[in-house]
Amino acid sequence: MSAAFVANDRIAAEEFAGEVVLIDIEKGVYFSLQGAAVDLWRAFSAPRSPAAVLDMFAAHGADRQALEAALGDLCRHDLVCETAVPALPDIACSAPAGGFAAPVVAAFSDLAELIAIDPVHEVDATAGWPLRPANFPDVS
Amino acid sequence: MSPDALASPRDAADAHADSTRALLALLDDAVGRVEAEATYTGRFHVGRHACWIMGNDAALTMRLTRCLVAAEDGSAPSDLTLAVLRGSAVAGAAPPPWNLPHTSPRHLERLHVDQARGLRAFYDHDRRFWSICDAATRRGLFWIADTADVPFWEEAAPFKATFNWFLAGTSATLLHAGVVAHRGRGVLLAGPGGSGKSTTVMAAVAAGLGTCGDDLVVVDDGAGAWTAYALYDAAKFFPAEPTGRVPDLFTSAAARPCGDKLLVRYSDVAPGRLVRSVPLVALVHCVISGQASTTITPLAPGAMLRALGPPTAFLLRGAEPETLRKAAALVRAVPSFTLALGTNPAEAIDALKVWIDEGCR
Repeated sequence: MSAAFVANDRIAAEEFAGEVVLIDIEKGVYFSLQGAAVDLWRAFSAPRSPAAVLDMFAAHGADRQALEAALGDLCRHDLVCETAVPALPDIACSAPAGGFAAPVVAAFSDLAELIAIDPVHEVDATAGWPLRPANFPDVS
Repeated sequence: MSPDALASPRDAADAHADSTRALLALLDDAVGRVEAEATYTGRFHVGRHACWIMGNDAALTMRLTRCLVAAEDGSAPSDLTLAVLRGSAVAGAAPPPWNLPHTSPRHLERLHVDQARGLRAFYDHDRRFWSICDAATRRGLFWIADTADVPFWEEAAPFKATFNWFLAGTSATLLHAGVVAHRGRGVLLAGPGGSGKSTTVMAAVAAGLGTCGDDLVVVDDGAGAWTAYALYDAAKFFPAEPTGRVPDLFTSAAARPCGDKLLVRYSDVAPGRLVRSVPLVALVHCVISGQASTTITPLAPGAMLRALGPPTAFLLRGAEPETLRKAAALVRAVPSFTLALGTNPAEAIDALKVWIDEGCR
């Protein structure tokens, strides 16, 4: 049986019509999911087998290759991670009207370096927050 | 206890609980000292709530509360009691340094969050001060070794971490945004530093409009509709801003230095224009267009949340999920727009006034 994956519980997420905004509190990175990536995110709200999820979406007309790449992005950014909890056996799925839109996983790291400064931010003196000071050392 | 990695999740959980207990003891001790030695007390608004602030150093506490909004009724009960303790006022009682085990990545930045208890604490190593808030007992603490260590930003936006942590347990949240009020309707201005928020708010005030602040405001839907509340009576600007960018009303006022900027209070510069609260009718994401005229166009809610949620959540650490959740609720309830600011702040305010008058359409 393949390993189960689930949404990382340290990620704060809010869903709108057509978009999920997520923030990784520890890394200072935030994300926007759109298209079928939203459906993927919903699917992993409980432990699931990635293969079963991809098969199920593909059976409903989604582009399996694009979804696999999107799931790879979700895992690479630790938005979805492996869990020891057994995968749920099935997931309800229906293709949206007009079919699944191409999955989009957009990561925004423009605030990440600021998080590394200090919770009491010494931000750029001329522009304010969120812009890092010009003399801030490279933390990458 | 050693800050080294702990052996097991159970050890980490135990150490985390020990940290909570240690911080509560620190809070009890410090608040007790301030209660016994208080030389200053005052009552201030924090959104719909009232905060009783007491300090053992009157000059320091008055300096730190100067830009807060004083409550009209100083005798009514308060929802939060905040103690300001200057350590050197008590012999041998400077704030203790962070000495808690590193049980999570957040402890590496000296931030302790006990979600279940509602206890949050932060230690600034460089300036040797503690900010602590315990939601269970509605007590907060700002404990600093010496007045000279007070960071300049605490004068314009004092206790923002403590207020944010207190509000995390309520229907309100702090947001990194400004608010312009016109004829009883409020427009919230989001955007990063340099996007024109403060310039727009100062121009609006100079043009006779109201504001709840230009950098950090409280928003709350506890009264049935999303409402903005003034928390900080403070405007900051550079002394050498290009001509016309900051209205004469501000540049001609008696100002205090605040880092590289000058600090004035809205209530001094334009009495009556810092409004205590205003219902929000629109959210706008400010961008500088570089064009002669200002335009206002609809914006997808997700894009507004990205402009408002993460910058606020990462600026005000310790209650990020609550901040994002409340920002999302606000974005769901109030329509979003892009405010592409023209080059002339006065023209932008005229455009904003007309737009608000016409129902933000």
